[in-house]
Amino acid sequence: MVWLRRCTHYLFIVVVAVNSTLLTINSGDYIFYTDWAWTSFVVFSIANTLMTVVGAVYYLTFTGVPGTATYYGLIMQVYTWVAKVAWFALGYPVDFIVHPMWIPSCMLLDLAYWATKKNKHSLIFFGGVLVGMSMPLFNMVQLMLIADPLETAFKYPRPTLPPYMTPIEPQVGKFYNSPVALGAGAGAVLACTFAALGCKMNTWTYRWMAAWSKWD
Amino acid sequence: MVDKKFLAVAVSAIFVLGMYGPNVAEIIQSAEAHGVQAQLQSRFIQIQNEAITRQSLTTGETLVLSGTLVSLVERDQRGWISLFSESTNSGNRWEIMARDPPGVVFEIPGNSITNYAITAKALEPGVYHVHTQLNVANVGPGLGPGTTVVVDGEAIIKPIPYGMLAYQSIIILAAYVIVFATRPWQVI
Repeated sequence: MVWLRRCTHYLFIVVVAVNSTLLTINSGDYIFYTDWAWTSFVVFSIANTLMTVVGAVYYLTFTGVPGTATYYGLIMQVYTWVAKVAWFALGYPVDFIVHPMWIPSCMLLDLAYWATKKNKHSLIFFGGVLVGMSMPLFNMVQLMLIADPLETAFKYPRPTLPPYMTPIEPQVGKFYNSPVALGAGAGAVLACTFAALGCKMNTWTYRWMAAWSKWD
Repeated sequence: MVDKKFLAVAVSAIFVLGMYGPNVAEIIQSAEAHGVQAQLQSRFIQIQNEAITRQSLTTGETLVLSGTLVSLVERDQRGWISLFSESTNSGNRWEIMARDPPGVVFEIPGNSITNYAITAKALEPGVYHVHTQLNVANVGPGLGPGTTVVVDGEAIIKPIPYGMLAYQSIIILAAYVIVFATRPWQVI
């Protein structure tokens, strides 16, 4: 059964790599040269939170070893740099290329699993809330460390920018005033559900592997 | 029971329409398919007397693009002005050094004539067609007629956010420490 276990694991690594790269590439497009950086931040914080939590919880329960979620986050984070380099190669200023920070939230997930002696329900509730609330905060640091996207857009005009992305003036605050609070609030609630989904996927995987083991 | 011949004809008709329908539709509407936004903008505010100080320069040198904005409408408008350049190379090619009228977004009074000037530094070599780009709030962007500009020299690199790179690198380093301490791959 070792071969099946390892194949499942390698398949998982590939899926993580592809997903994190694609998600970063797509989220990047909404930050470049627009006045919606903080608006898209909410959407992509939630999307990244859910993707991380479901994968990390699945992987964590698959191995049963605290530290696996950090390993998962590290893989995503390193692959994210591929997307970063791809955008840079297309000629975008490095200052625009913001990508999600997964690692610190994954560390918290490991901590919740380890501190509750590998309790699955604690992982879902405490881990889910910790990831959902922390990820927008760690991503906020990313956005605060770069030059203002709108200012950069005015300073470095992008000749091939499509007209619908042409910045006019900042729109932050038009619909809501605290993107981080909104992302953290929605993320904390939704992440628990997705953590539970991760656990359930793990159960299904083990059942599937058990069904295969009859050939041994 | 539906007649088989009828069914065959209906399926063929759907098939043919599916293949050629979009092409036919494109032919019919092509007269108004392109440049709607730019034309709309030029009916509000026109870019006239566009002039450029130089057509050949080296990276790091500046050029000034100037002209007048002629408002054709009663209402005051808000807009911002920039460069639009076309070329075969990709990359971020210009850095705006100064704008006149100053600031980012400025008022264009109704029925007025406003002089403008954009000073831009060339960042990347290439052959460009440089236009004035005027973006009017709630209307859209429009372009001036444009001029060919040749830029020589080494490309100038854009600013690098070292703070953000350090933030990511430190966290990635911490993750490596945890991962090698726990070695999750040993249980796979």
